[in-house]
Amino acid sequence: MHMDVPTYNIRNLAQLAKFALIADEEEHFDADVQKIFGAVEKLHNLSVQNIPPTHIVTSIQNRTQGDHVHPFLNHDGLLAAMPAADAGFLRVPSFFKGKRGKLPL
Amino acid sequence: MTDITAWSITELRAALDTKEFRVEEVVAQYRDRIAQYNPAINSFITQSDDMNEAAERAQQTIADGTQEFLTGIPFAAKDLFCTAGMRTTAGSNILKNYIPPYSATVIERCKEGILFGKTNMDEFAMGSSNEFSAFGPVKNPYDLLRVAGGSSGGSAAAVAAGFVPFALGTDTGGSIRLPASFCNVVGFRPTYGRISRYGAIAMASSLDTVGTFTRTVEDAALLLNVLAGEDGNDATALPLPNAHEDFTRLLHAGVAGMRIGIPKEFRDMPDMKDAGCDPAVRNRYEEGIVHLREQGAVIVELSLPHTPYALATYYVLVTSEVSSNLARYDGMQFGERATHLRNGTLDDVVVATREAGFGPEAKRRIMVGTFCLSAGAVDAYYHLAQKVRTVIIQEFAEAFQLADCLFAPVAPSTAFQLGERLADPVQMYLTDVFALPAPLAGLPAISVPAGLIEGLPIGLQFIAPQRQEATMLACAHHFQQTFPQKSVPLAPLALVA
Repeated sequence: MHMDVPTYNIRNLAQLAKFALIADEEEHFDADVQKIFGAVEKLHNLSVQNIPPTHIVTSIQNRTQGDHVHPFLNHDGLLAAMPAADAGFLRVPSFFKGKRGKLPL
Repeated sequence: MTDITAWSITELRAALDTKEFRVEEVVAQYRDRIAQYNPAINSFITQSDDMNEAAERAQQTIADGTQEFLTGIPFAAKDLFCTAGMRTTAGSNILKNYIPPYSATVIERCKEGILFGKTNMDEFAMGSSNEFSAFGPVKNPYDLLRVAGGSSGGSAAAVAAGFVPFALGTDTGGSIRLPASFCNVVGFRPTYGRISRYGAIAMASSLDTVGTFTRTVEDAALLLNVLAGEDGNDATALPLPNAHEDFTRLLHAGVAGMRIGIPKEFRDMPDMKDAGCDPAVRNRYEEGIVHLREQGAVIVELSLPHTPYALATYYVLVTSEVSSNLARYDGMQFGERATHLRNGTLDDVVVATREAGFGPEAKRRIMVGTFCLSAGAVDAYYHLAQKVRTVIIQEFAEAFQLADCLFAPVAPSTAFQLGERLADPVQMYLTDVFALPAPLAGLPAISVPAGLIEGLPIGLQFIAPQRQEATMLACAHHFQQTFPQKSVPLAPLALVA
């Protein structure tokens, strides 16, 4: 069965994936991604509408831990592993353009 | 002094227990070999600073008579297993300075051994040649102009070169078996979930499987006894059927009467021509089949009709999972944050961080996966691949009604030249064409050395039903002991020094 196969736009993909490709990179990746989609294209020839999807290959499902607090003892190690920490907190840049701490109206 | 760097864990264990060698002597021999040959091979991203204290402690444990299988045994771990206080990079610039605050379960289970270092790998385990590492490629110990295979190339080369008697790796679509085949060592991927993945940096969570590189199948079985089992920190880790599960229990059972399946698609897959399938590899595979028959196995020819779709299925699923798993490397939660933007917003910094931190293969896969999961394409790619995966699983299940174990090539060729497949991602992916069907079904598989072809190693693999490692290890052990081509020396490093 042939299904309508959606098409991609490399610039849009890069944006969604949080990359800022420069011009020649864009061309290069576009060619590579095209090749990859060309190689997986054959899946669209298969008729599997009534087949259930596989999410996990073993019979184990929905195993959950008890709802207990387990303190993490290596607090300093955890902070040191963060990309940026400040006074015991994870530090991130401003979410919005404008002056720090003020939301643009 | 006797050179012990080609010994198996089992041989080392005996020598340590009988006091023929002290742990310090063992450590010194391996350390010297690494110092001499690792600069040419590039197996390690990070080496342990000081192993003397661990060696002394292990020696004391042996003196006390309380030693375990791994006490005092050197080992290396692929650089995606978190090691508390020791840099863990996943082969990527984005984690080049990451020091985890805890150790992976599998590292904890090896704590009686002596960790020599963290091995080189393709970035986030994405690659078949170990050329997609931010720390340079791993060179094949049998020919320094050729790849070691990937993604666990550093671990495979480390065992092949006699740097350690065993190493830890992961196999998502062949990342243990492929480099094992290229480097003349045993590469063992157990059932999905058999070994905990807690602390193993994720690539594709429905496929990633922890496994081992060893010199012998026997060592692989004994190691699994140490590593396998449930883990409260990993919901996918399989419980063992009993507390003292022994994966060596069938090791000496041989293959007489064993039904060994030969899938016809592994002989005649249409992609094989594109994959650069070497007729000599095909011949070696045929010799393997003849050998197993001569040893008393019942050879069963069977079919796995959707095998030619495995590669496409795999690359849709893997890229989708990659795009999701690698979203966390944003410079906020994880990853070396880009600092050159003075007044950048969070989004600016995330983009700059990922642009600078990820290499080309990671970017390719993330973008492909992003599309496969996007609202307009998810049915046509990700959901479709999940359904084809179900068909592939069903076909394996039917095959295992006819056979106890399957036998197949691992790779279409021996190790290829460095740079040879870098220009075309699909050409690189085809390297895994024989390796990746088993992971799609979560099956255990093991690559066993099958001699050299024009001076380069080649492996052949056994594949078993889920949780039937013991049966598979019996076949693999017998094959390693009896196949006429088995007698291959340690990598001839003297020639390349």
